[in-house]
Amino acid sequence: MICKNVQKNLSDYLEKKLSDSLQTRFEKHLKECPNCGAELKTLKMIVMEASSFERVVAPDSLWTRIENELEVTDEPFPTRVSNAVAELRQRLSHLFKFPVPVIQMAGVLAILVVGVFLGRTFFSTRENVNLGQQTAVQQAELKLISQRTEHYLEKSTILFLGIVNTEFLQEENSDWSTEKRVARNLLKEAAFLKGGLSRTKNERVKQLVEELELILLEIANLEEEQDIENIELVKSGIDRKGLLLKIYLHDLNPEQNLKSAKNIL
Amino acid sequence: MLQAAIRLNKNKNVFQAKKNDESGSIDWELVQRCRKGERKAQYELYQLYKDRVFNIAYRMANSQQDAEDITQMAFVRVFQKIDSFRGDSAFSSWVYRLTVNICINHFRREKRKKELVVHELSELATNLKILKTNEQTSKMKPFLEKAIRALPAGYRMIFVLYDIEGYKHEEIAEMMNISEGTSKSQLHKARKELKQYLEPYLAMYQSLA
Ligand SMILES: [Zn+2]
Repeated sequence: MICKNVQKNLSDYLEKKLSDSLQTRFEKHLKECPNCGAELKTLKMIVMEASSFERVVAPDSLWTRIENELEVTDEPFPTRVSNAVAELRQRLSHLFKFPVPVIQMAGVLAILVVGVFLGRTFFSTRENVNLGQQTAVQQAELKLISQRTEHYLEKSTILFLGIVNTEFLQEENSDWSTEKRVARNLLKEAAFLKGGLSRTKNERVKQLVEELELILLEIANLEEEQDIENIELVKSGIDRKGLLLKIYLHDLNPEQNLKSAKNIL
Repeated sequence: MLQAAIRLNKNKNVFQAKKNDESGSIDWELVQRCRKGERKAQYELYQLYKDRVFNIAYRMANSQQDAEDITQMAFVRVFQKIDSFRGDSAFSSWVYRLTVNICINHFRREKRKKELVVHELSELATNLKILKTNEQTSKMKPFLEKAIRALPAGYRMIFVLYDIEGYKHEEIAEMMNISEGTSKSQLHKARKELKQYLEPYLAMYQSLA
């Protein structure tokens, strides 16, 4: 018997999962071979120690902490979402023309997130600007920039949604070339928008574009080999910036979403 | 004795899992009440699963504070996402799945340097010699805890679930959304890495045991 084979299957031997004849041959080898014998001893020790850790008990105070956190988000989630959706639909109806497939694929919640972005930043600035005196050329430029900004925000959001909702990245699942390509395209768009937005004095929107740009840059620079950890960094960056209001994301189906992001982009 | 210990641990686990899930109807009713945001129901549900969740978190983190934080996150997530539980798996596995997910995301960013772990282990050995306590059986536990903590999050989780918590590969595969084969091979990887960390202390351990 080859030591390598024995050591590879020691776990099975220990749990008596080998066939009877193999089990016997293993036993014989383990008695005769000091190397494999030592391996077995270590393995036994680890398995035995691991299986006999004492049980720990969650402290009573923990429930209070959980309860306190729940208080904050106590309004039932479905109610919260449907209210928000209804409100945003109304606000967005005359501004956005989402292609139907986007709605189907990314789900209403994606729109929600975009909507919240825009609700916070874009609408208010747009109104302000509209109050001023403007030439037709300026207005045309403004219109173009608003449209392209909306587009940029929408695509970034869908991209982020896909990434944020990718959990348990398996090794075979580490092809991020689509995401990287999309991020690179969006970066180009961001460069254009920043110029336009500073001319039209949309500082808040510009700032948002820049924040998104940082995340996009991280995505565009992902190394294939270290994807998993880098993706986590990207995710945490998205979290930190509160760029995706995760509270609205609970119901999104991760797999579906990644797929949809890939399809759209 | 070893086999018995393993079996005992496994049985304990199976028993607990069954206890929660065979009463599926009770759980389902509880789930419905939780969906309505009924705090008392949420507390009942918390009572049912808190120990399992807390132990998984504690063994992953080797830290009371982190384990509490993770458990808190897990239950808040459970109650927030409870609408998306469709009942196509046991409720318990859904809860553990969320827990595992949070644990892995929590630790994935962190990278422990091997040299540092080796250093910590040797310090521990020095201190143990000075301390010389009476109970001999668990002398190896602190070493194992430190070494476990040094494993990458993915297969640390599998080691914790299989070797400490006593779940089967089949259950782990479901919780982690991986194949049984992957669960087995990752467990092998974890044990192998632990062996490397612990080998220098084996002689000491055997002289104590
Ligand atoms: Zn051998």
